[in-house]
Amino acid sequence: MKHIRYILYTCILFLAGSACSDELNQAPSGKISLEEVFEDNERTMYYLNTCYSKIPNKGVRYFYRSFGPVCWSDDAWDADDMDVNWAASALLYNGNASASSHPVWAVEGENLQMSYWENYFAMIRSCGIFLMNIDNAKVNNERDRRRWKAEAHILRAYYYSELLKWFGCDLPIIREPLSLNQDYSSVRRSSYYEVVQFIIEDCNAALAIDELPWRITTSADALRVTKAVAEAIKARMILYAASPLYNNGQNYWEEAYSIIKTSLSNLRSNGYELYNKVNTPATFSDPEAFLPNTYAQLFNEYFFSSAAYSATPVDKETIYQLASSQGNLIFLDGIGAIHGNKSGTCPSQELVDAFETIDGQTILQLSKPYLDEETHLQPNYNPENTLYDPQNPYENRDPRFYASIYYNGSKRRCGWSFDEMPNNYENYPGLSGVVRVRIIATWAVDENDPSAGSESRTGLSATARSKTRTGYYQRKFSHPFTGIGQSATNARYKDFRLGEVILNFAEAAAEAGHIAEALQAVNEIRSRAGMPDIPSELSKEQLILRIRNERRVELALEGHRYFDVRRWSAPDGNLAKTDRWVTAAYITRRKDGTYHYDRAQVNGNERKCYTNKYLKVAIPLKEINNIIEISGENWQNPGW
Amino acid sequence: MKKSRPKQAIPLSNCKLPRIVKLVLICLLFETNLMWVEPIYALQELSDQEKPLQRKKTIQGIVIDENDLPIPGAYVIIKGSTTGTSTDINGKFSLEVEEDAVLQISYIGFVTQSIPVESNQDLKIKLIEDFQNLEEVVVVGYGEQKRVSVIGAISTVSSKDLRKTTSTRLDNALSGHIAGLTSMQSGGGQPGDDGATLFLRGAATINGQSPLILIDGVERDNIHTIDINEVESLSVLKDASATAVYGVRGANGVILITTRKGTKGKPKLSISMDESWTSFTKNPERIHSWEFMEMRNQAKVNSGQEIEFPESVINKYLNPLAGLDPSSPNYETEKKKRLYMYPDNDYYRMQIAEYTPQTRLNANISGGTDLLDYFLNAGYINQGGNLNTESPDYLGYDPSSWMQRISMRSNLDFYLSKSFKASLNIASYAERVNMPAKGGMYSSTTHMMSDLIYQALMTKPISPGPTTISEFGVEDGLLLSYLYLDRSAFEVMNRRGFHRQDNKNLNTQLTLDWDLSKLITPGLSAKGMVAYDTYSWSLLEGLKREAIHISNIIYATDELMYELKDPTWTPLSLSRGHSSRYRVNFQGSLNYNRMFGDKHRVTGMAIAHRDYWESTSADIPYNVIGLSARATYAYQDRYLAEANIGYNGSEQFAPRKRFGFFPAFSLGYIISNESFLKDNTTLTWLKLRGSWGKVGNDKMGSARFLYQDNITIGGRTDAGGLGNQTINEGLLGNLDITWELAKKLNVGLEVGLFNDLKITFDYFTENRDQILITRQRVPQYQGVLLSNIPKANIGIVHNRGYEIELFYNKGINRDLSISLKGNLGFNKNKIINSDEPLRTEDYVYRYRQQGFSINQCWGYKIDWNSKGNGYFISQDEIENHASYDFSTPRIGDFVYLDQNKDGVINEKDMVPIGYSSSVPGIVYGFTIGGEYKKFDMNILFSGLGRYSMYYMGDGVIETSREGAYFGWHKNAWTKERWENGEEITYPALSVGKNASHNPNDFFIQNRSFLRLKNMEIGYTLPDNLLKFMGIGKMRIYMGGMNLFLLSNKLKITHLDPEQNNPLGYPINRNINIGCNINF
Repeated sequence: MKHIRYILYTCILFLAGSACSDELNQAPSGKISLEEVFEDNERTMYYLNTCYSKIPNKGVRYFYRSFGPVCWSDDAWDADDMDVNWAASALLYNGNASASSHPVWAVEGENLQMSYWENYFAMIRSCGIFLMNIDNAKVNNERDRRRWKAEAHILRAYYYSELLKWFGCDLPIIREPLSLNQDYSSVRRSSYYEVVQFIIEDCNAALAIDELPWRITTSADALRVTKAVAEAIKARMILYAASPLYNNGQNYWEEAYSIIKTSLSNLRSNGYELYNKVNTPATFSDPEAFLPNTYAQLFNEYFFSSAAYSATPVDKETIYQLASSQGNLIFLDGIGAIHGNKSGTCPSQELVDAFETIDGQTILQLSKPYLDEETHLQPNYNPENTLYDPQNPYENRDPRFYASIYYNGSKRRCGWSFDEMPNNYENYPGLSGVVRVRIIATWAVDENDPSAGSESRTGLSATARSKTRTGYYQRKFSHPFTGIGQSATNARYKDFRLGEVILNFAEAAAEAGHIAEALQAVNEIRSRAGMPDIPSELSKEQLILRIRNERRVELALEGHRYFDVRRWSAPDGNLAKTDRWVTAAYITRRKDGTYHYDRAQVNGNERKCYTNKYLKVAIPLKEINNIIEISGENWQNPGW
Repeated sequence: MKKSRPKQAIPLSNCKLPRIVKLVLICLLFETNLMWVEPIYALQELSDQEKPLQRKKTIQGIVIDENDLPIPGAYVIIKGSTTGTSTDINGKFSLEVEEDAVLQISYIGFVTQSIPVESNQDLKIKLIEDFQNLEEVVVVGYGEQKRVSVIGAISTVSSKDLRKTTSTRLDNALSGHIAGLTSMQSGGGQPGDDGATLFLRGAATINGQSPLILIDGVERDNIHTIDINEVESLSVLKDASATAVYGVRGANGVILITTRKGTKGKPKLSISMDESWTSFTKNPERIHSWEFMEMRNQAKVNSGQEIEFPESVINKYLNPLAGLDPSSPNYETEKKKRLYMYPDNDYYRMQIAEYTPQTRLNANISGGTDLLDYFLNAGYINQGGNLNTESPDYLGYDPSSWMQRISMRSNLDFYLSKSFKASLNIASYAERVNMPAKGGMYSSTTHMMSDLIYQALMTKPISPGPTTISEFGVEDGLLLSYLYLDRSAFEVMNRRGFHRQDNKNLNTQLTLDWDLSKLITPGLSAKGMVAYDTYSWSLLEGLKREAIHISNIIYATDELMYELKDPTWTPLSLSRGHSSRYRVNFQGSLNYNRMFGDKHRVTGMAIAHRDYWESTSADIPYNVIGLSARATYAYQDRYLAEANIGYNGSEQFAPRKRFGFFPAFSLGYIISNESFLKDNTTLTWLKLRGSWGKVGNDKMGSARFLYQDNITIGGRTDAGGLGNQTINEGLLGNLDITWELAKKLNVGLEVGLFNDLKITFDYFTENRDQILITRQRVPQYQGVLLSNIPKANIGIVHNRGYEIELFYNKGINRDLSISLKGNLGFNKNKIINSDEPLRTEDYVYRYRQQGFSINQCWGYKIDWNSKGNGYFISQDEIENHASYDFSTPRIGDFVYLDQNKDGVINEKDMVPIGYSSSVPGIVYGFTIGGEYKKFDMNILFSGLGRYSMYYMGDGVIETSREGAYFGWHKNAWTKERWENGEEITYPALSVGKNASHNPNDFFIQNRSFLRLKNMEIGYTLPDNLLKFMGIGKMRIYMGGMNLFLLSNKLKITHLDPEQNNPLGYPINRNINIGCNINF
């Protein structure tokens, strides 16, 4: 009896052990197929949401609160340059870039968005899949279907435009996603101009769809693209296509002129206009905000703010603002000393030189701004400028200067983290944590005590992350009062704004010879900033120089300069005149307390990222090797 | 090794049989043990020798083993005679002998010993275990085999050897013991997270390379936590014939751990206590303030910048009190300030204690009756970490680093009837690991520890700290950080809170063993087993933040000031977390073992098993089912044949690809059992064996169900108004994917010489194909992220190598015995296909993977024959040399060879340098043991070879933050040093990354090493003393682990070659004393 029981038990164990193979069927995991996505209204919508997922954050979010291309241009020097080996700026300054590891794409940006080549092509594929399926997808509302389709077209155009900006080369136009089993040897590239035409085609396809709005009017739809974005992409990319680096010897300026003109006029007729009024005077017009006039106030306010989603917004200039807040800039990309943290972007002396005096005269002769063109230590002053005093350089400047840059002698009222020292008599006594007005002193050396070095908190330093490399700190995007105990993180990066489109138009018009229209456009920008018109008698070449300088000033620290100096360069040229030597204000505090202003090279080092190959970013070597093996063609950009 | 004392042991002295019959019986018994030829000679001598009569006396004695446990049933005969007896259940014997007689004592599994009878005193004879013990039973896959008939490649290690370590973990204790098994502590020695990386015969795949580990026949992950005292034996299965029964999971080899069982007899209580002092094997060299400043200045000048520290500043650190007037009333305050401002701090040593204690306690009882065998064990380990934390009394919580573990085990065997046995194994542990808080900032506690070490290494010796001092605007003891650092080690360690994790595990297992010999057919038995394990952890973490200050020093005026860097101050807040998982395993098997006639032995085994379990992180339980079978045939113990089959299903694959069939065949030939060798006294053992088979591997990293598209709906907003969800397109599926297939061949030769020496040699090849890899020859522009391209079974890796094992064991005389063991494993793998794109023709090497070992290191070759012997010595030389694509070299940087002669040094010039960075090509170990009277000694050396790594980044180079310097930077290249012909250990110092900081044959370093892994010297207290104390046996010992490196090829002086992460928690060195007591 006992034995039978054992047999029974053993059999049960056996059966349990050898139970049927259904046991291996997997429990529900929530995975779905691509077909199932487009069989459902919501999922189709989610797929479009995915197409938005690699819109970069830009601004300070290129890489660990670093302003990316701003610091890689001659607008600024990154204070994370010395001891932070892995920081992209340090690598570029030292010429530590190769096709197998290029700082622009090899470092992982926030949201892992820096592997541009791979990620943007992935998004182009996603948009392609969406566009292939949307016509037959199950969508409950035809209006939705059409609007979604328009958005996918714009997103594809956007990703292509970003690829063109960085890599600047011919690219394959992939309308319909390639299959993984495809013979890639037959895939060919289209020229830069053809890719821009494809971008325009996508934008036009979106603009033809009535359901796509011109403006997002409810915050529920935040970040969705609009017809205005399509126009802005067109306007930017045709300008790029016509520029010397990319035009392949062709003259596309007339085409650029007419496309941008249409875009601009469509934007204006659909409610876009320049930001021209201080809307929160309680903050920005406060005397202790230290913004000298309404122009400076509105300019500072505009960049600090986040555009509202409304049919009648206060900010009618912003066309597209990016998702992430720029955070508390003072801690990580402004006057780092407030918090003992990093200063990040330090505006260059070259950028400061670009700001005209209030009478509309340039400081330097734009045709040859520096006598020693490559080292920038000998400015070639504009003889017609009577207001500028090199020993009192920050008086009487363009209002945008005061809104964009902190300089030696600027004032700021906020909580500072440190006690002042007696030898900082500009600010002594001053206690840490107490909200107080502090004079920002960036002097490099004190004649009373040369061995003591620079101003201990905000002075020039070759190494400290919290101090300036250039004698300047970034003010654009910063709130006037943030400091210890006060936080303001509202600023959003404006990827497209009307101001840029107007400047795009001014440049294309001038290049195409439509001088009057070009003047009118550039002066519109100037008058919003309280600057007098550019005289109408200038030659085309002089006008183009003034428009380029205007672009530099208006779009300062917004990330355009890096791309502009490149597209203005000849394909066989380099950036030696602009990017090789970037200089600082070298300020001596005299025994009597006055200052002596001089110029010095930042760190005494040149940047090595000015040569021809740096005009375009390398395509990842792994990809190049693959393509060469597959098709025998070498897609690599020159020099890499 | 699992020993089984033969059940057929007959206490001959009790038998009423004629003497000659007894002798014949003894000899027969010896004969069946094959090796014991010596007594047979004794028998032969017997007939033709006449012995003169001598005076006789009765002697008494006891036969014991190396643990002083009595051996019942040992044979004691008078050498040269037929007279003999055997020991009783207490190991005792008495025998009437002539005065000058020599006793010969033998027992299966032990070396036969001859002892002259000298006096009347009671004899105590200690037998030494014999490595050539062929009666020994070896644990194999789903069963046991006598060693004699094993024809797979299987190595074993006994628990006795393993217990000689002071390591708290079994996996670390394996190092050096087993031929072909690599056990490296590459993850460092963080308490509770100090496990080993294991490879068996190197690696033959790019995917999961770790062997399958089973405890008592069930896949379990607690090799890390099992109490070594609970382990009876450990078998390592290497070839296809040994692992085919594990089918789809066996290709990387299998480690079988068997826990101890009770044996019949009186209860034996054994207690051991052990105390160690733990330090690190390597510590960064002390860099003094002035050395730091000088090196920083050097780096600055080399990088074309002005010096950072003028001599006046350096002098302040050399002589901080200069200029102070001792008679001044505020002299004390000034002195305190100056010493604080101009310090010579050793932050590493401030945060990391030099020694920390470790305690191990263990008690176990074993024994058995006719009804029940039992083994009960309790163990306790307290492992201290080396963090110098502040006192809990001051902090209000304890952030110090330690681990405590209590282990319990009860293994019971119930003999319910003569043919039915039930076994219940229950084991559990509770472990508590404490350390500073991880918080949201760190991805893991390992990350926190490495950040802590990073901050400690980066803090300059010239920086005041680690906290504030009063009288300069702030209170005493506030947190200080530095502008060049985000945190301080002191802050991470003390002031961010604590982290306490409790890990608990329960392993239970019930086995029913039923002998069906009488019921169905002789030799048949059935076995059923069910195992249920649970594991859970709970976490209590207290997090807080304190405001951080920075100090400001004005050299000109010797002023000290503080300012607030971060005012955030949050009180301690607690958070909790917990998780649990389980595993269930069923096995049912039929076993057959029968001798037909006296020549044909046949065994068979068929087993069905089913596993399902949950992993902490996975949402879906895992499932595996399978059938396995084995058949063996032996003819006269000379010709052996064996077939093994595994048939498994893995849910990892699509339904039609789910089940796989894995066969293996092997043959063995025991040549020494042939008549022409049978009597040979020199060549006592000779066996040839070979196997061939297929085994699978379904380890494909953490990803699962790769046959399906991984498209899911995930919560995330990218644009508003589109539903707050996205479609996440992950890895695309491939319905055809299947397991990796290893085709393994193994040839082995075992040689025994005399009775002392045994040598085993194994040669193996393994061709692994169908390796699941990501296709590489797909351009990125097609738009599927490369990481999401469907995987395909197209990888091929070949692996081959050999192993040598050597055992030597000899009792020289009554007082002295020695043993030597050595093993060496060599493996070399080669990637045959990884779908690697062929590079262009201007590359020196057009492939970087195919044709090379897995993780072969690549770099630039330094021209060691250049004028400056590898370093640029003039600007002229730089300008005339090929340009560097990545940056411009400076004087004192490395001269790279332009391998492809295109005038540019770039990626195309890279060549293979050194070896693989993941799998060592050589692993070896040797043990020297000996006993002299009451003393015993055991020394284990272990080493690795053909192993490299590219050392770069923080903790290695000098450019981190505002300079971080280690010993090897002290002799960096300078013009002066070069011209004086002084030793140069590093390229010219730099403030930023430069041309030298690239993979090259300086930074790719040879990690080969040989270390003294374990050493133990013991002394057994004299019996009369113990008797007085009421103790059976007491042994005290002292020793150590990782005491020193005999050979170390690493150029970096502050890192242990075994450790991967230069910033990881270092590897421990122990010095210990302890005692074992048996009652």
